[in-house]
Amino acid sequence: MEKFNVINFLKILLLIAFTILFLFPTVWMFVSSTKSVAEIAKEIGTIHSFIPNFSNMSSWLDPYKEMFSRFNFGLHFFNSVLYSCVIVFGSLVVNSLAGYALATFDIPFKKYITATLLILIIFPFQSVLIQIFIIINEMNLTNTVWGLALPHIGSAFNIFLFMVFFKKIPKELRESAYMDGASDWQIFTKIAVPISKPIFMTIGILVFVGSWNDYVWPLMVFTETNKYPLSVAVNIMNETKPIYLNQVMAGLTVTTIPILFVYIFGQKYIMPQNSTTGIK
Amino acid sequence: MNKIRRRINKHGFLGFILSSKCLFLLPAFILIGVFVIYPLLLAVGYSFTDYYLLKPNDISFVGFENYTEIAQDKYAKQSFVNSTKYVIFIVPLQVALSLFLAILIAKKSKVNTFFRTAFFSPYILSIIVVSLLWKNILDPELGIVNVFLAELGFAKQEFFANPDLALQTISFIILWQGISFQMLIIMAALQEIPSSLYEAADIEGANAWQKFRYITVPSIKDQLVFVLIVVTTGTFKIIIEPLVLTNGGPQGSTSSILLYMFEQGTRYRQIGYSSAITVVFALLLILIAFVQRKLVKEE
Repeated sequence: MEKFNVINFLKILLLIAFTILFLFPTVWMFVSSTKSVAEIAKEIGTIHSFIPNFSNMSSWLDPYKEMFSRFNFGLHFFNSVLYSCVIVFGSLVVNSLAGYALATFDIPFKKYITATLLILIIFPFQSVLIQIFIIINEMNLTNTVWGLALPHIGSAFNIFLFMVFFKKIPKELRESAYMDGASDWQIFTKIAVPISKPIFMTIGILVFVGSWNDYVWPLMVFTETNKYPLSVAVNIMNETKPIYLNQVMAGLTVTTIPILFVYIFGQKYIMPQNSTTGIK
Repeated sequence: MNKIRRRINKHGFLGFILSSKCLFLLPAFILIGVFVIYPLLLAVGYSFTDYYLLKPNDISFVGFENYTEIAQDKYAKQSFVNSTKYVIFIVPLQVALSLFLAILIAKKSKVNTFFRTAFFSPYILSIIVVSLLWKNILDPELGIVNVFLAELGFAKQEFFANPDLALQTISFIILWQGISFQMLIIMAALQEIPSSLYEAADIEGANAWQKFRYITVPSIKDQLVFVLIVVTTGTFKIIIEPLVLTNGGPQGSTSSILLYMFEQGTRYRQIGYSSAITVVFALLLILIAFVQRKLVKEE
């Protein structure tokens, strides 16, 4: 009977208010991407701007079609997929190897190496953008996938996450394989990697989302506009006159959909469990 | 031959270098060396020179000149003040609101799953999408918010062009997106608190505030500190939002440290000066990390 008191009522009201605050921009983005510019302008400020026009479903995709042909959006979409895949693949291979080595091998100066990695986590990529650009420029890698991807692959933070995970694998597992004559490489690929799928998924998702969302670095590396990823292309779209709001919103929706899928399929790997990712 | 190799393997640095184990570390070490450590060293080195991007062969040592220039550069100072303002506007509110919302929806139920999904939704949008979306929503002429304000009889607001409002507006947008993930971390921690603690408090006759103060907060202290650290360092690193929304304007009122560093390096091509800002920023980050360590250790 307690359920209908004033406090509970206020609580629900508050939750609904927050729901509206958090949801309305995304709903508006999606709904506007299915309408004509005239419709958007006419309905703005009314509740109709948040409701798709169901009597006119056949024309929902029109802004998408116009946007794809006007801005060569398919190419930028492909670019984003390519860049993200290269970065994800590279960082999974490179960082898992290093994390495994630090977790299991007897390495001279291991303490110092780990301490250095922890210190390096403090400095974000963005703070040395200019210097990295000079290095990439010296290597003649501007306007290439490698110029974009290489600086993003080696990551002290991800090595650290891999290391923490690999440390939890029981020693006995490795030792018995070693007795059977397996090499370090075989133990890593045949035993360590298959039982570590969760950490590969978690880091893979984090890196994918990070590189999909990257904006400033691609803006610096690429001077050829046809190499821009979605993040840069969509901003150009928002500035190219005449601006059609429905096309812009279609562009933003297309940029969001892959991330949405990644989160839906990878849900159980990214939701925070009862820990703070091992950092204290 | 094999014997010798095994003996080397067992002992020391050289043995390690010669073993295949070294190959596990090599790629990561090369990449981190070239793209993390070397750029930091370059920044320190360049910061003592007058390196201008278009004259790479004409670099001379200028001592601490770049650093004294930062101290006198009114826009550099402004960008440091702005970054501090972002932290003041965003961090307390973000931690408080994530905690508040997490408490409201921590209990597992179908309705709460809906609210959780709704509150989490901004997180899946990328920063660039969030920025462009709000840029359109807050547009002075055609944005929903201004049309709505006009209908209610209020004056239209120039959210991004008004120097008294622009930084707050950007802070709000960052907050709007940032709350979601922190809320989930706190919520996961809340769900781990044994309900017996609250039942015991009920028997003792504790009120809601006492339960919050003496059970909830101490139980999730670790996660609160973690959230505090992540949000603070994250807020100091802001660059995309002001770059896309206002380009640091109006009158430099929204420029952050990193955006100012970026502008000096790219638009004005003053690599030396830009590097000095990077170094000052790095020192600031070290200071923050140091304070955080103290904070965590005290517990």
